[in-house]
This record gives sequence, structure tokens and C-alpha cells, in this order.
Amino acid sequence: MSSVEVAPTLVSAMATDERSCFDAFQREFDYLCRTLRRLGVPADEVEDQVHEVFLVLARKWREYDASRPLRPYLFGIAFRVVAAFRRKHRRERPSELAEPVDSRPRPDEALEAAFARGLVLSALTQVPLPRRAVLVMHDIDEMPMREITEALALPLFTGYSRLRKARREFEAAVKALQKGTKEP
Amino acid sequence: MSPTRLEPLSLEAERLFANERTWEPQSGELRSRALARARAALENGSVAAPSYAWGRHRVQLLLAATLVLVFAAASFAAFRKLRTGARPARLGSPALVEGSRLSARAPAPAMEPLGREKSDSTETAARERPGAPAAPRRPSASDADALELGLLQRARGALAKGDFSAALGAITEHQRRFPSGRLREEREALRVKALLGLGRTDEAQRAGERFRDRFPESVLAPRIEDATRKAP
Repeated sequence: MSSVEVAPTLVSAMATDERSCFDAFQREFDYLCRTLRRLGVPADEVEDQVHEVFLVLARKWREYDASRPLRPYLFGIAFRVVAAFRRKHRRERPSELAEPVDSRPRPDEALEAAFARGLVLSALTQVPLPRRAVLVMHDIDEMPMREITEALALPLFTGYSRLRKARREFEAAVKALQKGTKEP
Repeated sequence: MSPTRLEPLSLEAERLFANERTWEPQSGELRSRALARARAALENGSVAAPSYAWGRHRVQLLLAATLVLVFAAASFAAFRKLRTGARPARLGSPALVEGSRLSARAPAPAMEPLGREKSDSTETAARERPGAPAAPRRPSASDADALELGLLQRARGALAKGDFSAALGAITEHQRRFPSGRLREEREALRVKALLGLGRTDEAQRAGERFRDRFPESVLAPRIEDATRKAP
């Protein structure tokens, strides 16, 4: 167990529910952070917002049906936390562009991938949050539409119409960003 | 068309999404801190008290309502005072003399900042002049994003071609236009790389140190460390 994991004595001191909730949070930590970023949370706010997600998760953990997939459930919580966060911070900041730096002057695959991720995050910020959530769940997380609409409490057809519109908005944003980044 | 039927994604979107699914894990430090906070919340029972509970909202709403009422009352009082006391002052009247004294004592306005702030004031002036031509459209957030991204892409392209001076030029341009830009972390990382390429090792080392101080948790920090360590 690495230093970041929880000491066994502390784990055993937790109630069973709390322990399973904590385990789920620990297991899906990277997924949650990625989801928050894709939903528009700035990098320097991820730590606080992922903690908010944990607090909600811990309060609602007993309501969670363990026979259902966990990620759509977590996404639903993250979506609501981000919506609350955005109400507090009206102006959304676009994503960072995480570019690995290499000592060699030539760009490598990792660098290209990092720029592509930066482009995706920037383009996602141009899609309104309710539609962005459906787009991320369906096209990036590859979740079935039924689970998406269940997690976001939407009618099925609304889910599809949001996805269609979000795809158009995303593709337009990518084109605009690529056009704006052409070298002179 | 069936409401549940979807057109296939474009190849470009498919490629970008496929790449997006391979995102790297979060930094160990962030993970460590977040798990420690979660554990502490369980231990001290703070999960039972939501941070945005209705009680707190209610207090905030009451405060906001009070502030609105106070502001409305003050505005009304000021408006009434203006209506009753707004008579044209004659030259040399005490009110005007007092006004000029006040203006003379008032501090000189600060120099207008360059760039966007300056165009803001031009816009304001244009709005205030009836019949003046419409001010140019203020760049939207997405325009600014594209511009920021474009400058760094230019720097990156120049680095790829080995044109380190051009890269440094684009980086300097980015710093001038977006000193606190959203991509400043990436800019500073590229700066280290450009300086190394130009053989300005000492400056690169200093830029690397500044980077580590400003962005200690950056995912780019290990690469910066590595690059500056390998420098001759």
C-alpha cells in the first residue's frame, strides 16, 4: 500500500458503509477528477470539487443500488456539484492545456496527445453544461443512453436530442479553435 | 428519423474522443490530499452536514435580501436629493467653486493600461458620445482562448522546427498579451524548452526554478526537471 492509501487501522475504524463508500471514491478518484475537468472545473479547483463530490457521495451512499453501475451514479453527483459550483462562479474558465515538455526539440506522440486533450477541454467549454454532460457520458465515457438519462433524471428522447445538439456544438467549437490556432 | 437514431461521429471527433479516454492519472500529491480530506470528513462526521445545506442558503438569502433593501433605500434617498437639489449652479456659486476645489484635490486618474483595458475605455467613451461610430466588438472569451492557444501553438510549431528564437518570440508575445492567461503554465514550460534550445542554460535553469515554485503540482514539473537536469 502506498503512502496515499489509508492506514489499515483507520479503515477498520470506519463503519462498513463508510468503508465501502471510501473504497469506491478511492477506486474512481481519477475518473472523478477527469469528469470534473471535462465538465469545466478549472484544474486548481478540482481538489475542492472532488471533495464536494465525496461529501455528497458519503451522504447518499446508502441510497445507492450496488447492482447498478457506479460511474453513471458518480457522474450524476459530479454534474450536480459542478452546476452548483458554476452558480457560484458565473464566469467559466476554459481548460488548461497540459503539454508535457520534452528535452528534445521535436514533438512526440505524448505532446500531440496532450494538445488534443487541451483542444477537447477547450471545445467542451463551448457546449452548455446540460448537453456537455450527455456528450461526455455517451461519447467519451461510452455509457448507454438509458444509464445516462437515469443518472441525469432526463427523459430518454431528451437525452438523444441533447446529444445530437452537443455533438454539433462540439464539432463547431473544434473547427473554430483549430481555425484560430493556425500558424500565420 | 427515429428520435433515438444517431448519426455517426465525424472522424476528427472520434479521434479526439479516443485520445481523451487515455488521460493520465492524477498526481500522487493531489490524490493523497484528497483521500486524506475524505478520510478526515468521515472521522469527524462532517459528511452529515452538507456544505451547501438549506440553512446556510437561507442565511445567505436573508443577507442578500437585506442588502438589496438597504441599497434600494439609499438609491431612493439619493434620487430624491438629486431631484430636489438639482438646480443649475451659476458661475462662481459656492457649489461650483466647491466642486472645482474637489476636482483639484482629487487624485489624477491612473494611466490607462495597454491592450484590452485601453479598448474598454475607448468603448465607454464611444458609448458616451452620441452619434459616435460603434466601438469594435470586444473579443469574446472563446476568441481569447483561440488566441492564447494559437500563440502557444505557434511557439510549439517553431520549437518543432528548431526555430527557438521564433518560439521565444511567440512566448514573449503570449506573456505580453496574456500575463495571467489561462495557459501560463504551458507557456512557462515552453519557455524553458526554448531557452534550452537557444543554449541559454542559466536562464533556462532559472525559468525552470520559477516554474517549480509557481506550479509545484504541475504534471509538467517532472519533464521540466528532467530537461533542465540534462542540460549541459
